[in-house]
Amino acid sequence: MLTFEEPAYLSLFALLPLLIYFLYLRKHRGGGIPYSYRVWNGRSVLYTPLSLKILYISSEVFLWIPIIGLIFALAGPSLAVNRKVYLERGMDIMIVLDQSPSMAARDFGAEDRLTTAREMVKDFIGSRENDSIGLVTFSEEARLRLPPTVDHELLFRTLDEVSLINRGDGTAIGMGVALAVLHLSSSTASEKAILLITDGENNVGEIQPSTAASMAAQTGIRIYSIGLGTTGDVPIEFHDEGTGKILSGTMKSVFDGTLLEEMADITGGGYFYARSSGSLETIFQAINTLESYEVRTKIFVEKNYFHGILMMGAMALFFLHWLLRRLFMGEIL
Amino acid sequence: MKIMQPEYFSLLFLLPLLWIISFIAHRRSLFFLKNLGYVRGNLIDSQYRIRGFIRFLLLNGIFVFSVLGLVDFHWGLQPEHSDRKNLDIALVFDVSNSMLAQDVGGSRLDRCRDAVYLLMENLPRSRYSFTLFKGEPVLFIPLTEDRIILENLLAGISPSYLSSPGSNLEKALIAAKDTLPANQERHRAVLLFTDGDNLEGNAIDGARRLYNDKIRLFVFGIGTEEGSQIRLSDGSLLSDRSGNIVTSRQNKALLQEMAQITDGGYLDLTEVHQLGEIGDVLSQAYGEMETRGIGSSAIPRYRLFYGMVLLLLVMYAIQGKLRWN
Repeated sequence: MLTFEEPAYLSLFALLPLLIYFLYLRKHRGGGIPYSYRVWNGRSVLYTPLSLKILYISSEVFLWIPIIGLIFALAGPSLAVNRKVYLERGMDIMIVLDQSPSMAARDFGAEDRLTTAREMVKDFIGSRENDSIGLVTFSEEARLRLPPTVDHELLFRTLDEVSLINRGDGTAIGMGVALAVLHLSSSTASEKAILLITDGENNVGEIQPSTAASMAAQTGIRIYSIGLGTTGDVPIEFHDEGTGKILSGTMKSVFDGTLLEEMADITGGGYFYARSSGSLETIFQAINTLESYEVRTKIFVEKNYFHGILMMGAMALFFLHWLLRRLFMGEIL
Repeated sequence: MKIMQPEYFSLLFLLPLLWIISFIAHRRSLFFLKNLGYVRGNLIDSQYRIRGFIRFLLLNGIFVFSVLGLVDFHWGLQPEHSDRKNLDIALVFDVSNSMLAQDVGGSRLDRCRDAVYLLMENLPRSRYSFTLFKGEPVLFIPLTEDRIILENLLAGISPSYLSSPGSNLEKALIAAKDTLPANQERHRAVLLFTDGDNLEGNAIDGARRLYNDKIRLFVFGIGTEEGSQIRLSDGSLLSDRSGNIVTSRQNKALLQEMAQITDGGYLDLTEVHQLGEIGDVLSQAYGEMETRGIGSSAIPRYRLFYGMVLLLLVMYAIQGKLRWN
C-alpha cells in the first residue's frame, strides 16, 4: 500500500498551474532561443520539423517529470506492509522426542512412528509462533538438538535431521526429560512445558523418569506425555544409512502408559495415548488448547521508503533534458 | 550527524564532466551568436553571458543538492513511541587466527570470552544468539535464554571451529541481524567481538543495514594498535602466503565508525579494567529497557535538500522563459 509520511507536501501540486501559466500561457513570455542557429537559419538543418518538435516536447517532459517526482519525493512516499508484533513473550516448550529403533514401527499407516510424530510436531510448532521451542532427542542417550528458540525455521530443519537410531534398544526417557528440564531452567518465561513423545519404557539412563518429573515440577514445568503405538506384532522397516539397504521385519510391540501417566501427574500436565496418526493429531490439538494463553499483539506498519529512487530518476531525467537542449538542439539562451 | 548512503558522494566526480559539456555548449553558442551579427559587449551578448552564468550556477546547484539529498543525512533527534522491553542480543565472535594474538595479557579470544560472561550477569532477562565468523559466519546457537548452552559453547570456542579463511565483518553482521526476530516488542542489539581485521566485505555497509532495521551495534574491540604476531597452537608464528610473519592490529577507527552509524557503542577491551564497563555501555544505551514509552530516533534531513533541488529546478525552468529587457 502506498503511503506518504508528510502528505502536506503534495499541496505543492496546487502551485503547478501557476508555473504552467508562467511558462506557457503568459503574455510577453519567452526570451530563450531553444533551437540552434544552425537549425532555424536553414544552413544545415539536422532535423526535420517533426522530429525537432518531438525532441522539444520530449525535453519539456523531461523537465516536468522531475518537478512532479520531486514533489512526490518530498512527501516521503513508502510502500507499507502490515506486520504482526507480539507484545509479550510466549511460553517455553521443549519437545522430547524418542528416536529409538522401535520408532521405526509402521503401525501408524504408511509412515513409521517417528515420521508421523515429526510431522505432527511440525504442525504444533506452526501454531505456536510466539513461543520458544527446543528439541531433545533420546534413545540410549539423550541429546540436546536445539535450545528453546523462536527461530522456528531452524527448528523445522533440525527436526528433519532427526533420524532413527538403528543400534541398541535402550530408551532413556528419564535422561531425555532431565536434559530438557536443565535447558529450561534458566528461562524466565512464565509458562514452561515439556512434550514427551515416546513409544517405549524407560530401560536405560542414570536418571529415573520420576526423578526427572520431580525436577520439572520443582521448576514449574508441566510435562505432557504422549504414548505412541499399538500392541502386538507390528511391521518394522529400517533404512540402513551405512549400507543403503532397507531392512524390514516384525516387532513385538508392548506399551505400558503407567510411567508416562505418573510423570504427567507429578507436574500437573497430562497424559495421552495415540494409536493412530488421527488420534495423535487430536492430542496435539488438545495440548495446544490446554496451553493456550492470551496473546497480545499489535499491527506494526513497516514502511519501505523509495524517495531515493524518485530522486535518482528525477536527476537523470533533468540532465537528459539539459543534454537534449544544450547539445542536440543547440539552445543558446 | 550520520550519512546513510555515502557512496552517492562519488557522483560528485561527474561535476567536471558537467563543466566540460557546459563549456562546449557555451563556445558553440558564442559561435552562433557571432554568426547572427552580435558582437562582444552589445546588449544580447551581455544578456547571454549573465544568463548563461546564472544557468550554470543553477545547474551546479541542482546537481550538488541532489547528491546531498541522496546521501541521506540524519541529524538531531525526534521522539518516538516505543513499546519495546528487554533485549535480544546477537553475539558475534571473531574466531579468525588473529584473535589468538597474545597482546592483551592472554589471548584476545580469552578476553572476549570473559567479557561475554560479565555481560550475561549484567543482563539477566536477555536472550542471546551466538554467531562465530571467519570468512563466513556460522550460527552456533539461535536466539535463546538458555544460559547453559551458551556457557558450554563459550568455554570451548577456538579458531579451529571454522575452516573458512579470512575475516568478513559484513557477512557476520548480516547473519547476526537475521537471528533477531522483528515480530517481538524487544530491543535488539548486535554485540561484535573482534580485532577489526576485515579482509573481505564492507563492514560499514553491514552496520548501515543494522541501523536501517533499528538494531544497534555495540563493538568490543580487542588488540593493541601497535599489533602483535600470532602464535598458533603448534608454537609457530602465523605467516601469510608469501611467508611473511603476520602482525595483527586492532582497526579501532573502523570499529568506532561502525558503532557510531547505528547509535551503538564502542568499548576497547584491550585494557583489562575496561571489562568492568561492559554492563554500563549497554545499560546506558538501553536505559529505558525496563520501561515503555518514549524513545528517540535520528531525523532524516533529505527533504531539506530535495526542497532546494525543487526550488532550483523551478528557477531553471523560469529563467529559460523569462524575457529580459
